[in-house]
Amino acid sequence: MQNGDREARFRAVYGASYQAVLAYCIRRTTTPQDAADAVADTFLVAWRRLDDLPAGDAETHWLLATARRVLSNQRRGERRFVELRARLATEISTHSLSVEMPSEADDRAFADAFARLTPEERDILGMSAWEELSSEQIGAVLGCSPGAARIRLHRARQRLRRLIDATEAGFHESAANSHPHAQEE
Amino acid sequence: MEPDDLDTVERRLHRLGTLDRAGLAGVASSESARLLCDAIVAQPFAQPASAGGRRRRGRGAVLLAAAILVGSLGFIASAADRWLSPADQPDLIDKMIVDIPLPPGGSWDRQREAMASQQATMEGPTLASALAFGAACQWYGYWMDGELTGNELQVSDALITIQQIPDWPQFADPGSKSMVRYFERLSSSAVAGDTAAISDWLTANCDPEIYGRG
Repeated sequence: MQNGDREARFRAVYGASYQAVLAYCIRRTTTPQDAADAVADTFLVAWRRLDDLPAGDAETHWLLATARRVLSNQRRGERRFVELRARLATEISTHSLSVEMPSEADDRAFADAFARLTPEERDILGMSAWEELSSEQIGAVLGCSPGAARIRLHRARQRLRRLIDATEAGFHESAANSHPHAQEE
Repeated sequence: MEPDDLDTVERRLHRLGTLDRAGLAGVASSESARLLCDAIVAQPFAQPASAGGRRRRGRGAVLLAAAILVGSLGFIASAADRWLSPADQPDLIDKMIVDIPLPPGGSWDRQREAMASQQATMEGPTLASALAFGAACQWYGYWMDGELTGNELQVSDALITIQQIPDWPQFADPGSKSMVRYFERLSSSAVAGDTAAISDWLTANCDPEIYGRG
């Protein structure tokens, strides 16, 4: 690939996938800085490995798979574009782009249960609910077959349900204990 | 919770990850996003390897490495009586390593120990070359770890430096391009993803305690 073609292709990929990668990273990090770092690192890898990037829809899945590896290996070593990362983090904060803890008690119990899943379980459930990926697409991101992705998704949902039951029971018990009169009624 | 209220779970899950679409679009179209793109395309990148490069296996690289390393060690020995005494070396090492990059997690400790234990007198350029060779071992070890763990970011980061190693001034020799060609061929193997060749090279030339796989 000629350098001009290479740059044009990267800019096209960047423009088409930036928002998806940004959302993926924000949902799986706790600070704007971590999200900004993951976005920058993901596209840096994409630039260096542009020849490996598949064409079409698969390019977004490739980028999400890369973002996933970047997030799971967030090391604090050499950092390029420090100022740009900081600017991006500020943009994320300014636009209030973060996943907030729900205010309703039931939703808080749900969020607590979700937080108790493994990172892999949260990731696959998020791919289904937030990125709205099919089992085939999740398989492409995880590097497994669609069947395996379906099984992992099913297991994650089952475990989430069990945790919700346990967490909600705990919330209700806690609420009852803090309101003894309610128990007496 | 009843087993049939999957929809409720999905809805609650969806709410948990809701992000403001306008905000996302705002960040995506922001100046910082554009500048990041500009900065990235200004970065160097690894050229794809040829099929022939991929097929090249480690044997030739090992032999070449062994030949050059033996030559380099011979050079160190022949210069031993003419230049720096062991007592002069620690301070000079401190100055020399400032210009030699190490990968994340890299260290000069093992090389310092090895050089101190050798108690060899050597000329300055040879000392610098030996230090740079040790750093190259660490970069290739870092690359290899990235390959083995599937860490593409680490592999890419390592490749950036690995491709610069042939140009390191410590390997520049006015009378010969042998070290430059040697590291150019080695970096081609890394770019081609030839883990067997690099593994062989590391095994043949680098102390596992230096390159972090001991």
